[in-house]
Amino acid sequence: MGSRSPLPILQGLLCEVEGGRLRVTGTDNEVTVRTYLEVEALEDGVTVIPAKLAADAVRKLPSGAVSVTAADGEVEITGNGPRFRLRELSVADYPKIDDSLPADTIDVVGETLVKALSQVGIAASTDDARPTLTGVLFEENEGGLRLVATDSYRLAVRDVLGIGATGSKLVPYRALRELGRTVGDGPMKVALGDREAAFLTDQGRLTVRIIDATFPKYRQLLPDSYPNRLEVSKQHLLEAVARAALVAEDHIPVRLNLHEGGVELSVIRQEVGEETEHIEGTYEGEEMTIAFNTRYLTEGVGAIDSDTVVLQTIDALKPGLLHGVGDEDFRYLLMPVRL
Amino acid sequence: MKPFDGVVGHSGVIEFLTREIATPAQSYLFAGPSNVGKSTIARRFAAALLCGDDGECFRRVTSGIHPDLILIEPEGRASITVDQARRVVSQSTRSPLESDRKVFLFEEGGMMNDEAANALLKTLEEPTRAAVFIIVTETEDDLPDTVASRCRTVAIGRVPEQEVSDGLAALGIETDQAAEAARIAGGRPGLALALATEPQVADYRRHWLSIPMRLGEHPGDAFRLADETIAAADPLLEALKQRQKEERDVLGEDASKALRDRQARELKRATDALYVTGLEILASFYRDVAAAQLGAPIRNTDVPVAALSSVTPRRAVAAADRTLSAIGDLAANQRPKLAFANLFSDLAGHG
Repeated sequence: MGSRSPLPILQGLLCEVEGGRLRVTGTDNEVTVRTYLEVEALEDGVTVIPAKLAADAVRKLPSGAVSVTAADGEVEITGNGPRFRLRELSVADYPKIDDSLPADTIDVVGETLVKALSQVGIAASTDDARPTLTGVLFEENEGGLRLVATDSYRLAVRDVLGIGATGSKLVPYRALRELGRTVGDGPMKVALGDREAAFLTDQGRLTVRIIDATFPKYRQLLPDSYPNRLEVSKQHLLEAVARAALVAEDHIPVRLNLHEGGVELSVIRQEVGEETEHIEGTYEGEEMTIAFNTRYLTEGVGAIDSDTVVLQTIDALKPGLLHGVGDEDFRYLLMPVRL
Repeated sequence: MKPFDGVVGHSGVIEFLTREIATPAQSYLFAGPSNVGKSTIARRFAAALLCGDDGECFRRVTSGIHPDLILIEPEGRASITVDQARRVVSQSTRSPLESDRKVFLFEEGGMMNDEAANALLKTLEEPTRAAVFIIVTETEDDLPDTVASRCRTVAIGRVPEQEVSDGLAALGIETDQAAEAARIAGGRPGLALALATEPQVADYRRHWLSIPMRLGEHPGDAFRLADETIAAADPLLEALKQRQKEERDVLGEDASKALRDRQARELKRATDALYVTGLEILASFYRDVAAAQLGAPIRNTDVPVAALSSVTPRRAVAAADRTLSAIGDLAANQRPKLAFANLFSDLAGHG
């Protein structure tokens, strides 16, 4: 339902009852969510109810069955005594939403996809001026599904194995965040069409209009091998960066001096102070120093699903690569800050 | 269903746009004076682009509630901001919901600030598969050259009085009243339509034509006359105000600030157009004075002959010039009462 939408009709929910099943549709013009509910229907019919008020009203009713009746431009909601009569919105004004599906669908487990999306989603941009970067790329990779997002400072890649995907489609991440809360559980079908991406479970369907633009060529950013490799505890690294961030705030980078035996973190802020600490780890390669934005580093490390994380580097100016030890299904490429 | 049925005048523009429907350009600039029908034509064009023959779809586009028609309106009375422009850039990359296209319509495109215009430049010229932009403005000069040069310009001018009058008659308005409204409206069908149901239309014109005879000796007279002039316009705006009230009533408490702001701007445009049209009537009177004394044909045939020799041709021409210059004063946001009082005082020879 579109709370910010300029179209008043989108503040309504389209409710359709047919053969004992209620279908509820809400859209903000970009994302459409359609859910199903078995109901005891006395009569088939269609209405558009004011979403927020109706939802709040139902929530505040005493527990028990709720009955909804639409007639003469009013929707009556009753349950165990209280009676709401709300003004109906115009069914004719409601957008006509196509229910058909593209032929190719992918079968996934809802929880797996939701989790994978939340991993790459941290790298998606929220800046509307660069719409291409606000999406998550869904594409085929070696017989599996690959999800990619970047805001040009970092790039997150998640390979979901065992899922056959075809083609490549750019889906707005903002819409995908709703996936878990709406229809996310259980077996899910994903349909990637030319105009929209649809996610279906037996609870309903979320449809989002895809971004019609070309995603940056990201593969060239991922080199085959790195000369330097640090392995360190995820927990220790996160805690250390959090301490450094107290001094750094968002705009001062944290320096990582990589050397045999681990990494030394340091942050120095003019006129304020500094923080330094050492974390044990294993390091192979030349001693070097590289600096990262603390928030981007924290988000990347936090998204890794492993107790030990790996940081691979080339030099102080080329992007560093983060991933879990023995697990490169999720990779997070982070641009360093020039010192 | 013909998309432009019922539009008064503009046959050339309609012919052109009808040809454009099959293969539209990425961006259009609709330029022309206020109240001539730019928005009406723009919405009809948008509907034709989005709906094909679907009448129900057509209705939703022209009433501004179709999900693939994105209306960009100034926030408050101020301007179209860079944040709004960025949202447009983002939305333009999304595929349409119902239709095969999306139309972005800036009905008051002249209110775009430079920053917003700059944010749009790239989007206006780089074709996206499905987006069409229509920017409506009073003159191209209201927008940076960089915007205008990226758009196909469609000039939507004033409509000949006879066409306006015939058009109103075709909409079922009584012939005399239609002619009277057309005469006042100065080639603006939108204004003519708003006025056509107002019985005081003829009075308004008579008021302006009576001004030269009533210019007084005392400076205070100019102010009294200015007050009367503003009061004379009020009854003509009743129909518009009534329609706006109905619009708000339909939405009840949902009548948003955006709607109120839009109505306020709409009312101001109509009021300004009425004042401009009044000044044009007054100027045409002075033109007639000069014309009559030099033996040329006159336009306001219902003015008493005696009035036509009230000043010398030279002074009449100067008075017409001075009258038209007040249009510029209004455009520069001078308060109407002050602009009129100033004008009447000058015309009476106090200036």
